[in-house]
Amino acid sequence: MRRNRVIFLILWILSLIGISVRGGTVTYGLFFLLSLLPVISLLYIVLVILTFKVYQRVEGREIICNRKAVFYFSLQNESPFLFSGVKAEFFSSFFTISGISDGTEYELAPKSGIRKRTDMICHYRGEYEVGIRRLIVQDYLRLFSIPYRNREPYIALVKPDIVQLNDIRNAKLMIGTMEDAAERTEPDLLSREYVNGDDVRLINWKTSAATNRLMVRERTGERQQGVGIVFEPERCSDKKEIYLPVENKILEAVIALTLYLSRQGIPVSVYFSKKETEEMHVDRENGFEELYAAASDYRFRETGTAKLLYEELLQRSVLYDKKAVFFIVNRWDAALFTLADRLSLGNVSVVVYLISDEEQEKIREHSKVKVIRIATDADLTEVM
Amino acid sequence: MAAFLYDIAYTVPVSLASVMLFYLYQNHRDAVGLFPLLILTVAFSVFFALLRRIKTRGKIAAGGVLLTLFAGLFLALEPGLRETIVREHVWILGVAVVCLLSFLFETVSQRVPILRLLPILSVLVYFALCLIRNITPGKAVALSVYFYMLFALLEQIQKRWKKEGDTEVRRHLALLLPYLFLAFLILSLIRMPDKIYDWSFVKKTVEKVKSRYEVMMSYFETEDHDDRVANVGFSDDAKILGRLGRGNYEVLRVSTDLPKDCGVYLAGESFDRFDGRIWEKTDDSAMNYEMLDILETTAAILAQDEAHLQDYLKRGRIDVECIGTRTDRVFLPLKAFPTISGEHPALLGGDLVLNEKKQANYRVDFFRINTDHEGWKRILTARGPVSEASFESAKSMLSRKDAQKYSMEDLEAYHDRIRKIYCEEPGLSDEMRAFLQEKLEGADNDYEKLLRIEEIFKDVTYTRTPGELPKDVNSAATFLDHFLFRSKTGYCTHYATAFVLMARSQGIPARYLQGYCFNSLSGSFPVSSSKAHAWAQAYIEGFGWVDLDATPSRRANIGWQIEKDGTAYPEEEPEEAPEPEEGALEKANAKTVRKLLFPIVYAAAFALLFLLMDLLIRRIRYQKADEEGKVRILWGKNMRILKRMGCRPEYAETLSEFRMRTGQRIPKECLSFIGVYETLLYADAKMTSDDVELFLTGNRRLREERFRSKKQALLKKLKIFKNTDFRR
Repeated sequence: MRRNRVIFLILWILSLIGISVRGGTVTYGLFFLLSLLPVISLLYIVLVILTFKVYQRVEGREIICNRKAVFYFSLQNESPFLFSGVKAEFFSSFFTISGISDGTEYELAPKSGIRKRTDMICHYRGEYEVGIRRLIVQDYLRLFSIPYRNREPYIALVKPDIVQLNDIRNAKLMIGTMEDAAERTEPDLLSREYVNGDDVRLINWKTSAATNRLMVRERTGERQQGVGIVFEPERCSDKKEIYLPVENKILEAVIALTLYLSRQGIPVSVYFSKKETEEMHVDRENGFEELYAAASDYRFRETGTAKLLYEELLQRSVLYDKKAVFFIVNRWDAALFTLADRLSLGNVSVVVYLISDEEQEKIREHSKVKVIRIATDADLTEVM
Repeated sequence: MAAFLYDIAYTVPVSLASVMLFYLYQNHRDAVGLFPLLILTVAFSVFFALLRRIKTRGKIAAGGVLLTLFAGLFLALEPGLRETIVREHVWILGVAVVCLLSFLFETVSQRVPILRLLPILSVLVYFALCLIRNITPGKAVALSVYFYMLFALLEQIQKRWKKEGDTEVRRHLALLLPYLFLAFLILSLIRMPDKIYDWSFVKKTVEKVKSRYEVMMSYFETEDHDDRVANVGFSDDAKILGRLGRGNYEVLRVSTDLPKDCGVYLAGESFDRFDGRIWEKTDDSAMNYEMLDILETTAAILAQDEAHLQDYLKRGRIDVECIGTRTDRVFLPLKAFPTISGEHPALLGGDLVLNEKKQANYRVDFFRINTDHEGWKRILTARGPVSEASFESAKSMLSRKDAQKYSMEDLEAYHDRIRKIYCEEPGLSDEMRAFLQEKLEGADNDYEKLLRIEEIFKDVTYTRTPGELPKDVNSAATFLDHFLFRSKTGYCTHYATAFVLMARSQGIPARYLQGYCFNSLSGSFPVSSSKAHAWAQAYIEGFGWVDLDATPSRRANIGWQIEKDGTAYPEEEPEEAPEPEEGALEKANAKTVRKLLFPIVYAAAFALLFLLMDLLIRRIRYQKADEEGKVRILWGKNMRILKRMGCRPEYAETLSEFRMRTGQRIPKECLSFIGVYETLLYADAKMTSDDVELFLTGNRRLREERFRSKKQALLKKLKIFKNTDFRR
């Protein structure tokens, strides 16, 4: 194309010289022709842009992350004029199309079209554009190449992937440790010192009076039941390129962990924030489909929601009767730290899965809380 | 169709160029005319291209019909006329031969594409020779060649372009023809001059940018920072400045019917009161000075020399477009009619003023007065006011509605106003009074005095930088003393001011004017700010206002020589068209119709006969064919019906896919023959009579389906028509 432009420009300059030196039909004819051709080429391109139609659809009812979906697209020329060169670009980091090259150019005769069938893999859960992102129209002289955004994008609702974990090393350790801890000879504590957030109904007034410190009652011998999973409800960025991978990995981890634990016979309670804090219970027989549906439809929320969730969970003390609590988050911040700390003080095992591609400079360490970083493109079966 | 258009697109330009270049065009251009030649060349080229693409049956039919038509036309002529026509139109045969050769060349070029370089290179050499020898080939030749080259270029681009889809070259090029046609249609309408391009547009743009720059710079150069002076050449309040700026940029664009180099004074503003440093306009009268002045002048001339009115007064027209300035002033020559086309100005003390400042565009009609006429002085020196009879004659001579309403009383009121406003005694110093008395001794009429006053200024030096007026100049008297006795330098404002004051000192009403003074050119021409000027007008009783320019270097000649080459009021009667002979036209028409009708009838008869023969031959062929032959014939028929119904196989579509897709529109039982044909094509199956029957059934069902769908469509249209309420 560049060569054509250069040749055209040279000819046009020659024609300008021609009309400055000699009049007549030869020189003026060439000059007017070379001046008119780009105008008509641009008109042609405008016509194509206005009348070119793109139709796209995905086969099947659902698109699941990291699974192949059959994708059809059709380029239609519904005008009575020829479209001599149209290119469709698919490039996006959110999905992959196989079998079609981005550089393919198509010629469409009047009232005709081209239909293609391809396989598409969406990399992230969420709602975003897939398929043809941009179209590039070239004129018949290959002088101009004008790209424009597809006016009829296909918006896909992609569901999260269900990863089958074979093992979760870190969780097992925590659970194992607890079991081990349960068998140690340390006496059960009847009461312990009051800490902020403890239920006031558990205050042991007698012991408090005796010790001159506020003490709360610990239920002796009561073993903690089940596992809790809390995931961060906040959207971490306004840019799709940043928040989609993070949210995808968060929900993927939630689903994978829940599935694994429930299959191990461990009841799981998943806590998340919608209009208010919600809780879903999953065990071996029930609840997983509802959780999956909720995770598929879940809309991450505005800034500040995470802090509110942690504070509420801290106040409600619902997590204290869990054997272990897993936090699947993007940020390891002060509010979470406080909650994790309280839980660990209450002898709840805490594991924080930090979904992040960046090494956070200062991850606050906690002696009893395990923080594991997971990259957004990590394989959960290896990392968890 | 694509192949046919492809052939034409290559053949027509070659034929056109060949025909135009060869001797046929040279010898017969004047006799035949370009248009018939073009039409004939295109017609022959299309005919040959069509012949190539149609089947043998079509060729025979076309040939037969044309032959019959021409033979019939030929036979319809009188014998004597036939020979003449053949002799005079043998060039048509030449055109046909050239077109045929071009067509054959193109047919060979399609198989050996490199051959296309031959005509391209030949023509490039020819063009180069034309440029060197300054010969202009015809527009048709040049455009034909360029079209051919462009088309060949597009073909090469398409061949080298890697694309998917239907990239067949001929089809691609045929479909590009609308764009090319549009381009060459526009080109054929554009004028291609023989003169070289003078880049006037670029030069004008550069000039405009340059003048805008000078305006900006002169704004800073002008001493009193009057941006009006910088912009239009004079200031709104007619101040006497110490120096004039040197701006030279377009202010007005003027076109006029005056002869070339005729002096024009366009007044924008008049002033009546001077305080020694600045002129002021106090006259705000809405009296129609212009019309009354014209009436008075016309009456004066009619009274003195009615027979030669046109030697003294000649109608003129001037179109003014303000481009370099926004002003509410209307620039008028002397003796202009107060109504101008394009605007509605108000009358203000002898000036025309618009209701807002703008870049107005208007036309002015006026009377030129011939100051070169030998009788001019006699008229101006005639004593006494105009008589009522002359006044009435003037009114009827002008025959304008706006002139009829004025009476002698109005004229007298006008005189009184002029004397009151424009004749204020300036109060001269004793020295000046004595000086004037000396200079005007012996002058016994107003005009003579004015001429003598003009002569006084020849000792004054014109300069654009006379310097600021001293502080003691604060009245008309002190100004005159300073200008004529001390400074003796000045520019037009000084001269005009002094003139007006001196005229008034002699009891002659006079006024100071600002505007533009230039010599007319042909066509539309610019008037720059350097043409800004100030001059005086004096009122001579019994005649009216006259322009008097005291500035020696700027006096413009506004008179003309009496050449009897036209009058102010030309009267020409149109020629009458001759009456046609009764009935001659009808007789000629009837004869022509008869001549055309018979050959057409013969040709139609031939076509019908041929059609019947063709049907018969096809029927015999079908009956003699074996089952496979019949199946193939019926397949063609059925596919033609499907195509007419809008069902065509798409690019790279198999017959099965075509069948499935078409089955969504047409009942599947109509398409069962497609499966059988597939077995013939791919499985090499032997066809039987049942298969033939299937095809026949399919043919019948398709025709029924086509009829049914057409009927439905028509009924739907009728229903829509019936239900549409056309009343609004």
